Amino acid sequence: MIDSFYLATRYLLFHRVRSVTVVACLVLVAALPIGLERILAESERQLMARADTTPLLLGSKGSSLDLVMSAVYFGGQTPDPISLAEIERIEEADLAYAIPIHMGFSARGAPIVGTSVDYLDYRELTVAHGRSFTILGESVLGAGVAKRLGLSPGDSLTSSPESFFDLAGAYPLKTKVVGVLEPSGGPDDLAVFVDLKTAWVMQGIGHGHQDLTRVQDPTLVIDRDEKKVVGSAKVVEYQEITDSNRDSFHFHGEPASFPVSAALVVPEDERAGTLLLGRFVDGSLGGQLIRPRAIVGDLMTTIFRIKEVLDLAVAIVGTAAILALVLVFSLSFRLREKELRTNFEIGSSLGTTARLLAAELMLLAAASAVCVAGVLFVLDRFSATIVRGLFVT
Amino acid sequence: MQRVIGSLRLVALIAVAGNALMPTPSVAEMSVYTVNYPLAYFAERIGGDAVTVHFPAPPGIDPAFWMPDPEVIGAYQAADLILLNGAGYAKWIGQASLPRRKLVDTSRSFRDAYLPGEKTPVHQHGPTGDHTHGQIAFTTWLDPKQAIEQARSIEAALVKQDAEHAASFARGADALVADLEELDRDLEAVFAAIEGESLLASHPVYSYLARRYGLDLRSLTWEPDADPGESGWQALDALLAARPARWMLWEARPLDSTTAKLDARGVGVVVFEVGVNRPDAGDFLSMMRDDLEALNRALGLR
Amino acid sequence: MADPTKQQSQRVVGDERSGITVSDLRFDYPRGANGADSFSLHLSRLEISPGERVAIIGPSGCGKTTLLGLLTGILVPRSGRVLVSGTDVSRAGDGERRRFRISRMGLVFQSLALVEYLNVFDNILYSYRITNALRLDESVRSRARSLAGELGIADKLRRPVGALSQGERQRVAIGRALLSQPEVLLADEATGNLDPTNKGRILDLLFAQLERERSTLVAVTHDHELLPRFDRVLDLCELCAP
Repeated sequence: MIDSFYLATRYLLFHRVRSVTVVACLVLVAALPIGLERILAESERQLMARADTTPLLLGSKGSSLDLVMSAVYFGGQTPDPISLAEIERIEEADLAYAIPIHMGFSARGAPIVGTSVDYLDYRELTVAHGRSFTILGESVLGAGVAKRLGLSPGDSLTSSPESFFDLAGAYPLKTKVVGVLEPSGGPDDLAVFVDLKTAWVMQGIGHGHQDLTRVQDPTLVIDRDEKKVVGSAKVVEYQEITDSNRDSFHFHGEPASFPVSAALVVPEDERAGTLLLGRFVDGSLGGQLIRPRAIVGDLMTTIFRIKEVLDLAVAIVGTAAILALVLVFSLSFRLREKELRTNFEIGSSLGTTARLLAAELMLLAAASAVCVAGVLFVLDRFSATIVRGLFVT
Repeated sequence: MQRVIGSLRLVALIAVAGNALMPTPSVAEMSVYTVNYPLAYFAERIGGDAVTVHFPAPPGIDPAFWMPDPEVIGAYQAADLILLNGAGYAKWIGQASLPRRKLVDTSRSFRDAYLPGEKTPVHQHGPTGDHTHGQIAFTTWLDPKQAIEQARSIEAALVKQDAEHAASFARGADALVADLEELDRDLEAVFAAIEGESLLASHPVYSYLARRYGLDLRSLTWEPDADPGESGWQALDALLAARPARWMLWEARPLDSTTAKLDARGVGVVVFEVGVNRPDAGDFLSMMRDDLEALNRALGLR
Repeated sequence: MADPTKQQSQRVVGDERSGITVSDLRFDYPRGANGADSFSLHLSRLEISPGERVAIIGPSGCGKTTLLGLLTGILVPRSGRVLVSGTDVSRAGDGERRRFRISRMGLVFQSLALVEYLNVFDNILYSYRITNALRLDESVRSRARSLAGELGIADKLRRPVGALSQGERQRVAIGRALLSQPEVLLADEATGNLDPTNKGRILDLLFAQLERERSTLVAVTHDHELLPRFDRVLDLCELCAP
């Protein structure tokens, strides 16, 4: 049998293009479904890990999936906002504390998350360089954002205008980068964090400008009396919050009415969480309170159902590939008729042909198995990175 | 028998001595940061040894208008509890990033009873645009009843954070509340003695005091270390012409020249410290007691 | 010029059991693929002495290749006997015929039938890899190298056979056939497409090896120029009975 393996090896090496093609086909047929399974399993692990660390999520009524994707994974559509008052209502129930999340703005491709410093504590995000944000106008970058944009503490980062045509809407705000976070391996690496109030300034709810009670230029003022000054549209708002103009920044309206996209709600214990959920079911509180784990779980179930269809498709394609390989082998066998006839005429032992072909098949199978093992080893080693690269963007 | 008792005594002695020598397991003290001195005082009285209270505003600066450095804000962020006064106090809170779950709004329970503050002109963008609101009066602690509510709010927050010391916190709070109630009674007595009389104030910081004791209190905006100027004196004269007043409350002693001019108009100076900063000597309660004493002397009640 | 068919071998005749003896051989198979005619071979007697060099000539289609097939046991006659070195290859079973063929006979095919995916060395050793009747060891490898040297292809052992000239390929085929030191070498047009110089050289090499091993040679050839070099020339048509 050793001689058969020797001859089979020489044959396969001589026809290396054919051999590589066959091995490639076999590797694809074998590795594709297994690889897909591993990637999906890792995706599920990462998604669920993130969902598990978000006990409850408060948001406006509507698509709970959109809410989770936006507030937990910083992707997808920004949901309709809720007011800060709804978050305060949760806190007043004294069963949980809430971490506001404001989405909708981005800076050079990175989502800007307006929140409180509680978020960094809760997600156990530590500062690698610089410090956390402490005041209006400061930003802290996820490790991935800092690396991609080449920014470090002391640099500045300007928010992108919400809409190029939104002339009356939000203006870009230049923030001061004060810190860069340690890598966390999740969506936080790719986000820019600012205080909620800074996000409100980006949204135009807050702004800074010259003190209208003291301006000399008459064109800046429409009307003035001892109680009130009415500014004209000519009043220019500051696009950057600095130490010298920070005092001028103020908000118009009641803070309780200001918008947030969602809130991470951290109940004191399981019972408190259940009680809170109950209040939303009975309609005593507005909006929706959901368990991200349940939503992501449903999503994964749907994905795995789709995967079943994909598996069927892969199985059909795989079967077709194997049938094609069988055809290749049978054609190849026919092409070797002369060689096999010569073997007989020289006087080869009975079963030589079978041994030669078996040796070839075994070598091809072994090579494929080694390649599949290699592919799966690499996949296992880098699946976390691959999934992050595919989905965490 | 004697020997047995003697041995038992020896064993007991060794046990007690041994216990005394053993280091007591250290309990992490709760770190509490406040935005003004009255809240720091309340927290110290209530928290006792279980709490370390921090009030980092420098002595000479009004905490309401102080802007802490990023390092100081970082220290607030790292605290176990941050006691806020509420009613818009202080300005820097509106710009700083503080952890929501550590914030305690000590005047939340009576937020519906806030009074308007200094009448500064508001501004508006366009005839129908957004406008700012006037300020809210924030010296809530000058009404001892409100101070008590703030103290109870602090007690509740401390207990929630450290239930093991609930009994100790309750004792501290009760003692503080008793002191504040006594202060309230004494202030009530003093102001009852001048019922119907009008009072003046150099600054509109006594609105809660006025409401609590039903005072007819009219405020100017004078600084103790500066002459009010021609317009200032004119404003005072107008007020006196409308309704005479014999005393003017000041947060700090005014210039001698100001005192003299007031004296010439029949208006006495009463220094009634608001207590926003930690005093060099004494504490919040002794400051209030000094204010009470100043009132008594000025009103001729002592 | 002497009559090539009449040349007699002067060589020593060996053991009675050695050599090739064919008696009353009948073989036929239908030539269905090419036409309606069937083909029959009837050879009443043929004796080849051990060590004799015999050339088989005859027109195309007279059955020269078929005769070689019958002598090697590749084909089985309808009747008659074929004795090669004392073994009745006409009556032996398939396995026995294969073993006999590979271990005691050497075949040089008209098409050479080299294995294109093997190099020169592996082609020479090929027989040893496709049977358990022969054992491939270091002595065989050593003999193959030395045989390659004698055949003038020692410097090409690692080359793929596809890269060789026709003459070099011929030498490889001969090397393969001779490696097992066969008692009988059967060659079908061994110098088929070679130029005269190479033809002569190939035959010289072949005869030198055969001389050493004292092997019998039965060579089918169309090339009359080579006939004088053989001990005997047999015209198959004249041999075959009507």
